[in-house]
Parts: sequence; structure tokens; C-alpha cells
Amino acid sequence: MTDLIPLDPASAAAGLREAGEGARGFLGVDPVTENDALLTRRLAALDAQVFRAGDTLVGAAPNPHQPRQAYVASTSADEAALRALLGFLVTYRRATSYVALVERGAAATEALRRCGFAERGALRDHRHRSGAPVDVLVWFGKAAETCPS
Amino acid sequence: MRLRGYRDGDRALLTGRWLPGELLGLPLPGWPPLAEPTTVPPPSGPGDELCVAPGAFVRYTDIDWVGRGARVETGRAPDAPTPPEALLEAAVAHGFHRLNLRRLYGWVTPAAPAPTTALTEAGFTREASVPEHLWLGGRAVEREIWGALRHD
Amino acid sequence: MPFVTVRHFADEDIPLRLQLLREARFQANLSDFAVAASDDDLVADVRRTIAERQDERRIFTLCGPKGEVMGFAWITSIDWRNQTCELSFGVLPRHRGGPGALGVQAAHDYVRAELNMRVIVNQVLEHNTMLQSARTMAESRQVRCDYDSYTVGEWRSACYWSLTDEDMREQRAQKLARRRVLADRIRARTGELP
Repeated sequence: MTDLIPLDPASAAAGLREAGEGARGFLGVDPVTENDALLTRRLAALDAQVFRAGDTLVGAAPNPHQPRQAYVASTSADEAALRALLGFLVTYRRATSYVALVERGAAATEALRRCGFAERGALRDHRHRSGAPVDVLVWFGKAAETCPS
Repeated sequence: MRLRGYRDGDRALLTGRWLPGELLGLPLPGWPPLAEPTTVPPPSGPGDELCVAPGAFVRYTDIDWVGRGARVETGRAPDAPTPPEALLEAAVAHGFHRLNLRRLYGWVTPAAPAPTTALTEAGFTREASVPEHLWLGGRAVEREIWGALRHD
Repeated sequence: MPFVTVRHFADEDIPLRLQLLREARFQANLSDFAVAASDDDLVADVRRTIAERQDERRIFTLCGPKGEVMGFAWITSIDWRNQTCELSFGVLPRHRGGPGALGVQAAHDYVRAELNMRVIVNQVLEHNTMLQSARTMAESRQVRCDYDSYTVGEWRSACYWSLTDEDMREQRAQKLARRRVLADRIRARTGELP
């Protein structure tokens, strides 16, 4: 099982900046257009938590309209890192489902697919990257039933 | 019809019995008497724009000035003189031509009866759905994301 | 790997930025507000820019191939709604000239492609030839403004010009055409058929 190391806001921002391309769109933030201070502020506004799992950063933010659902993000295709995050959310946040908004072609797509997420549609021209608009795909995952809540 | 900017005197418009964050926020029938009404905050910072029409508000939030998009939510009082169709049309016109945005999107909840023809006529298309996204009436219900793009 | 990379200005760049603000040519050619300011005030001001004023102004650090700092670019008068901003440069003395020009190009590309700005306004004091010759400036200027700035005891005139998406496309086409002419000439000299 991959270990998750929780990052404080400053380390989270620095980590996303170093992750470069893979961190663009991570929970909706973008280290290319936003500096560390802005990233920190944006993540705080989302009440987001960022973890390091090996070379990958994973993160989650609660859905304010449904406390049992979490938005999740990852900087890589590493399935184990994402699984560790989902395990954390089920165990310590009692999450029952997850949503991920991922740019078309992003590395994290592969990890989501392997973790049983399903594609639920595409937000057209949702972000601007390197001079062109890109679609953002909506992925949904269901937590395995552990015990009756 | 044109939207105008929010003023402090419009504050009463910001509270009502519609679903939080709903693209077309119409008063929900059968609102539980003990449930708090929905409230949107007055605008704060460059990521937020708030406008009003008679008896209704339009809020542009999570504005992405680089990606030129914003999430739209509206709220309309039960006796508002502005019909839902006119409200959406004005919201799209303001977002595209005054805020110079290229994409507007918002949440639509199928469990709440909403006239989707008003959305379609205003240029919105259903783009995605998220199961269990909103807690409503004691259970988690599906929500959809509808989006409109400016073509010019 | 591109020759010049653009990254966000960070705390560790502050000493170099201060050095530049205190340099005589910078003060005469751009702004001399640093003459009367203490180090502490300058540091506090630039920290505020990094932490709180990203919506109004941003500073970027231009780095060479080994990550060494070549200078800075900053955008001011940002109008997010209309997608315009003013772009300025301060290149460290040892990088002025050729590499500096590449830095200018990299910053223009970043502001346009990543920040999605459509019109970039340039302002250069007329006597400032640190990055371009007086001739180039006379060719590009659209507006000449007398008494624009008062630096180091003198009134300075400024040249203003804007660059739209169309201007950038045209510049790129011209550059390609010049390169083609040069390539043809080389081929002709080496006896190759075009």
C-alpha cells in the first residue's frame, strides 16, 4: 500500500509547481498561470488536502453540496497513488463517491480508469492551455460499500 | 432586457427557496419548513460578478479570466416580473458580450422540475452528469452540467 | 528545451530584482522610484505584488538554459475582461543584447498563449536603447508621448505601441520569409538547386 504524506499549503503549492504539466487543472488550479501564493489561496478556498504518494501528488476537496462526495485529482497515471487517496477518503472522510474533472489527454485518466471510474461527459472548451481551449472530462467513481452508514 | 449591477439594496433577492448553485434557480415546491433557504454571498473579488433583473439575480462565479469561462447561477423570486426564459437570455448576453466570456455553464438538477426548453433556447446543452452530487430531500441526487459557448 | 524559460517571480529572486532597481541605467531608462526607497520598503512592496496583487500586476523571471536568472518581465494595467495588459522588461546587464531579445520573445509568447492576452501594450522611453535600437523603436511606435516620465532629473518622451494577435502573425510570417531568403542564398552559394 502506497503511503500518503499530507502536505502543508506551501509544500503543496511548491509540489504542484514542480510537477509542471501534470498539475495543470489539478482540482481546477494551474501552476503555469498561478504563482505559489495564488495556488495556496485557491486550494484553501476549496478546503483541499494535498498528499505526496511517491512521485505523485494526489488531492481531494469536499463537495460542498454533498458531504459524502469528494473531488479528487492526481498528477500522474500511478494507480496505487490514487487508490491510496480513495482509501483515505473512505476511511477517514466516509466518502461514498468521487468526482474528477480531468483535461482531455491528461495522464491521470489512466489511473481513474483503472480505479473503476466511468466517464460521464465532456465540458467543452472548459480550460485554456498553451494558446488553445481544451475540453475537460467528467469522471465519476463509486466507493465500495464497506459498512451500512 | 438587460441586467444591471448588484447594489446593496438588492440584498433581499439573494435569499430564496431554490437549489444552491442551480443554473436556473426557480422556487422549489414543497420546500421543507425547517430547511434553511438558499443564500448567495454578495460579490467578492475578481472571480465573482453579480447582476440583477427585476425580481431575480444572476451570479457569475469561479470566473476563469484566462479560460474565459464562468459558472452561472440564478435565483428568481416566485412573483418576479422576469420570466425564466428572459432571465437566462439576459444572463447569456451579459456573460458573452459585457464580461467578454466565451463559455458559461451551470448545474441543473433533474429531480427538480426545470423547464429544459428555456435552457436549450438560451443556447445551453447538456454536457455531463454527476451521480449523487446534491443532497436533496434526504438522499443524494444526480446533477447535470449544462454549458453554452460563444461562437464568433 | 527552449533557450529562455519564463517562470513566476518568487521570494528568492528579490535580491536580484533589487539590484536591478538600483542600477543607474535601469533608473534612467525605466523608473527611478527605487532611489528614495529603503531596501525594506522595496522588499515589502515586491512581496505584496507576489502575495496579494496578482490580479493587478505580475512579475515573471526570465531564465537561461541552465536556469540562471537573465532578467524579469512584468505585466501591469492588466484588464482581464478586455484581455489587454502592458508588458515591461528589465534584463540584467550581462544578458542585454541577443539573449535579452530572446527573453522578450519568450515573455510575449507566455502572456499571449498562457494568460490568453490579446493585445499587449509596450511602452519604452525614447532614449532607452537597452533592448532595441532607436531605429526599431521609431518603426514600431504608434504614439509618441512627450513628458511621459521624469527620471533622474529629466523629462523623458515615451514611445507606445500595441501588439495584437494579427501583428504577431505578421511578424512571424516576416521572420519566416527572411529565413527563407537566407536559406535560398546559402543554397545558391553552395551550388545546390533550390
